[in-house]
Amino acid sequence: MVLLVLTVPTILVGVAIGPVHIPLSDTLSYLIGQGVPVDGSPSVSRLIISQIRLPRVLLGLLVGCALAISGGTMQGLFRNPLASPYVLGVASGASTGASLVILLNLRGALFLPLGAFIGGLLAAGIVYRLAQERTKKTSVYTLILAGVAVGALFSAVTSFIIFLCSESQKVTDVIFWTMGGLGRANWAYVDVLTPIVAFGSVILIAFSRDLNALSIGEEGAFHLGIDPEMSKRIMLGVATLLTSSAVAFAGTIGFVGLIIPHIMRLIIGPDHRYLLPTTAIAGAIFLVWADMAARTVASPAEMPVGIITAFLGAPFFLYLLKRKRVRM
Amino acid sequence: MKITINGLSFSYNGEPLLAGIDLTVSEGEILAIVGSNGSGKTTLLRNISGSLSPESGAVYLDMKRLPELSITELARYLAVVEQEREVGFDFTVREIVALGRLPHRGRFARETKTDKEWIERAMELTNVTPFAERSIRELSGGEKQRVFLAMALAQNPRVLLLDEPTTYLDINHQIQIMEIVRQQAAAGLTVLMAIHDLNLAAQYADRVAILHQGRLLAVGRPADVLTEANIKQAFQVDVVVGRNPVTNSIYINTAPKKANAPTSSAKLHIICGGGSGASVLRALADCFSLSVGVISPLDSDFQVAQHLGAELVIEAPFSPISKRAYEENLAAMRASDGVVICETPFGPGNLLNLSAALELESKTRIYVLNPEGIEKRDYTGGEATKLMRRLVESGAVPVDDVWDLKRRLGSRYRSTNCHVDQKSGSAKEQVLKTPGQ
Repeated sequence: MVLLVLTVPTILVGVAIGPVHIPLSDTLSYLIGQGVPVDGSPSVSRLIISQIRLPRVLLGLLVGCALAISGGTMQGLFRNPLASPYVLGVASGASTGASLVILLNLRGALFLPLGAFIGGLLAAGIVYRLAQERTKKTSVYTLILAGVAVGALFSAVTSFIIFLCSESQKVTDVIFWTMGGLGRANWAYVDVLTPIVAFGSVILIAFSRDLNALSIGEEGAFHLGIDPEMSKRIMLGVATLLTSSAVAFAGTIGFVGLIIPHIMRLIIGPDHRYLLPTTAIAGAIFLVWADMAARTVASPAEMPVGIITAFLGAPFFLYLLKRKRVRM
Repeated sequence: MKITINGLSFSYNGEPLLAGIDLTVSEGEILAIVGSNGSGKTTLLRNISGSLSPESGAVYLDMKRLPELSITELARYLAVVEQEREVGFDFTVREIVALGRLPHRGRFARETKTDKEWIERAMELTNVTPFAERSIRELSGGEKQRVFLAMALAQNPRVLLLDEPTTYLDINHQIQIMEIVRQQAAAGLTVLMAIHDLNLAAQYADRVAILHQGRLLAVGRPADVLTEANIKQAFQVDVVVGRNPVTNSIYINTAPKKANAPTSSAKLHIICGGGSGASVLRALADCFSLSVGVISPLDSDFQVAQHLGAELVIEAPFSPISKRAYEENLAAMRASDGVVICETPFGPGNLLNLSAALELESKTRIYVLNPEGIEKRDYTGGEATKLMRRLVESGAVPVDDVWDLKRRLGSRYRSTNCHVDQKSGSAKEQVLKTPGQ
């Protein structure tokens, strides 16, 4: 709970510090600390901040939050700490959608995210329908298996699309997209994603007590007054919506949704009522820092942020795994 | 709260699992459902808990028909302890018990003082408070089961369903769970439990229902329902039902009827009593035809002998051996190939059994277990000791123990079964005997 209080100022620091690591003067960072300078001074630096850096940081927060809270929810639902937001095949579906858009040369600002979003939802929808039994119940095991199978199918389609691409530029685009990154950030993305992430996170946190009950099994949860089918359907739906939206704007960034919930569980315990909010915040902060690193490590070139998330998260995760669980 | 089950039937994939179940459980009553694996115990419980919906018939809690209650309402009245639950994450014991308060609280509400009190109380009752902060996944089976019982009690239910709650527990933990349940029932909780252990059912349930192939075979007080005939029908097993003189509840022991005819045609007569003959009779029953006497029907050896199908020479309880019984006994001995005298205490009442043995002609061989120990079990002022010495002097064979006896008899009367036993069977007996020698 201490963590919850500590994280709020950390966000502010994260936002403020972020752009500073790029060669920029301290004054500009101060300006960000003051608020958002939307217009006014025609300074190039200000424009960079308002039009590039700030939306990028905000998008990082939103995407990190969405992936982490979805990952935490999926792990709770599947009662398996190895579940990620992509268990239902969202990543593969979104990649297929995105590569299709690139192949077909659809050049609207929102075409790429829209294609990825539809692809992700489509894959998850197919998985969910496959796992539904005659009794209208869904087994989590079948969901996992169907997720693997459908994911493999969509990956094959993506590979086929890449194979069809004649222009090497397009191939590079697709591959870069699948590695994930916040490079395409703009205010339109932030405007679309903000309400989705806010709404989704509130719903998931509202269902966190259901996740707690489900951890003793669906039958056990039922005897505690929780309708396991309804809870599962809502949480799967919302988590998939969040994941698909995040992937649509930032590509398939791995690791955040898998490791952040896991790390937070090691630190604050498995109670989802505390776990989900802290995971959301931690995921947001983590992705922003990872993105900063991605921009600075190989500056002026930019690394895909997925590489950084793995590089930062994995060792820390292993370190925590070796330690006993500590409560904060 | 009263449970009423009316004409409940349920089938799965077209296969009928329960048919025409009528049953009521009154407030504060403990009803145990027993039956073989697959008899439908768990299915019946799940129909009552709302996990399954009956195909026909209905379940009522007091006057409310089950589907009329919402899932949350149902959870306020009824709690379930399952046979075994796997917990997904490292929740602490306290966190698990606190889950029991979920049905009493809104989605966003925090734990109230009342919630906390219930949680503490449930943990105290089940004695899990000492490890309240430990992870549920570190606990032993018995501790875990108590935690889930605590969670169910924290629900403050009016009805508690237990599905084989003691299956994986040792006897100490079984009793702990049952005692808590009994306490709660005394306070008005209605308890319905499926249970494998007939003795626990007999000891703790007010009534027992036997389920057999999806139908109720019998319902009633344990002593009326758990009869040898009912158990034979429901479990296809022979048992002996006795009454525990200490607790006054009935107990059930398996007692497989002798399946094979004796392997040797030889006949032996056994002189025993006061429990001294039980192990001898059991050891020899497979090899020889047996007769026993003179013995009283109140003697535990009598019950063993009768169960094993031995021929019996009987005298009324607490009476000296009559002339008639004496003659009968002597005749039985003369008709035998051998006589075994067990480590029986001798008093004025059964001393004549020793005298009878002395009357035998020398062609009937007599085996005496531990004749040196006679003085300790002589309640005739030395008379029995004297008779025993004369027996040994006149050629009776002293034997160390049952094992020794069986070996000697086996080789003398060529009972193959006894020879085989010597090598492979009765390993336990062998282990028990060896260190003393």
